[in-house]
Amino acid sequence: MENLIEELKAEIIEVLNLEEMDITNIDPDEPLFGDKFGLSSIDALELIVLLERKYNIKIESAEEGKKIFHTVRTMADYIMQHSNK
Amino acid sequence: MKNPLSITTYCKIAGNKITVNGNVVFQGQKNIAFPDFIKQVYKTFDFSYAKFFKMDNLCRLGFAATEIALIETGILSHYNEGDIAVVIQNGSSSIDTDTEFRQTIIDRDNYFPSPGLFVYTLPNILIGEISIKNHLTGESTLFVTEKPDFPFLHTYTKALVQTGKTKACIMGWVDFDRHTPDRNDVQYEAFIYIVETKENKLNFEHTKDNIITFYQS
Repeated sequence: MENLIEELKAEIIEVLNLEEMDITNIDPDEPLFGDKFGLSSIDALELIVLLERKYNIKIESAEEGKKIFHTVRTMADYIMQHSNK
Repeated sequence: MKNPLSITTYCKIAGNKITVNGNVVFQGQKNIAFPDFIKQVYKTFDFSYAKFFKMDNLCRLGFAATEIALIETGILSHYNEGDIAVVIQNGSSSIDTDTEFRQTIIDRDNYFPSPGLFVYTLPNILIGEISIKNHLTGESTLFVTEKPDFPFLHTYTKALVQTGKTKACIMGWVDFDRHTPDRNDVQYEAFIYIVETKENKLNFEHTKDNIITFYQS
């Protein structure tokens, strides 16, 4: 789980172009869509693409996405639960 | 009759060099790639705007030239947000990002269109980025033309002012194309000039000849 969290942090920084961040700046339990990262709805779409491309997981509803992308840890939880299905 | 319009600053970014009013204010390393060059520019001029790194190359280029020109003039405090126009010309449209986006959809077995790239597959997003950052709500237009057409921009500026639509204009030419082989020598170029109805520190007369001279300098 912790390895996946670290991997996700690096992926998020890369796909969302968080140039001024590194993995040590991201607390896995802080909200991704709070003020700190300045993420937009386009970034949420990029995270959906990331899950599909990298982990072969499709997210069907926006409501589901809100919960999954709440924090890095909730993303990792979701991947752990769904990646082998 | 006195020309009511002045060019109060101009900024050019080309060949890893930035000039303001003809003076070199930043010189990048000779063979540095554009992404690294523009990152250095971001740090040097302390833009402090995280969204900069989400922008595509065209927007980063035009945004940087505009921000540097704005530092020099201070027009944001001299005019209302709705009285400042942004009018830019561009030659290669968004071909740089169009090409990059195509790579995300070209393989049907690896088909993951990038939303973050897709939003930059229109060149007028550049004007949106400049306007959002500076809260500008005035007239805005982006023209795609083969080459810079400064006589046209000159006439357009005069019309905007004479019809009462604007009191200051952010004008210029911003072009980015790294994919067309015969254009390798001119990969990117931004020339932004500010036109004002009020007097400012520098007051070059707003004429076609001056615009062309400043662009070529």
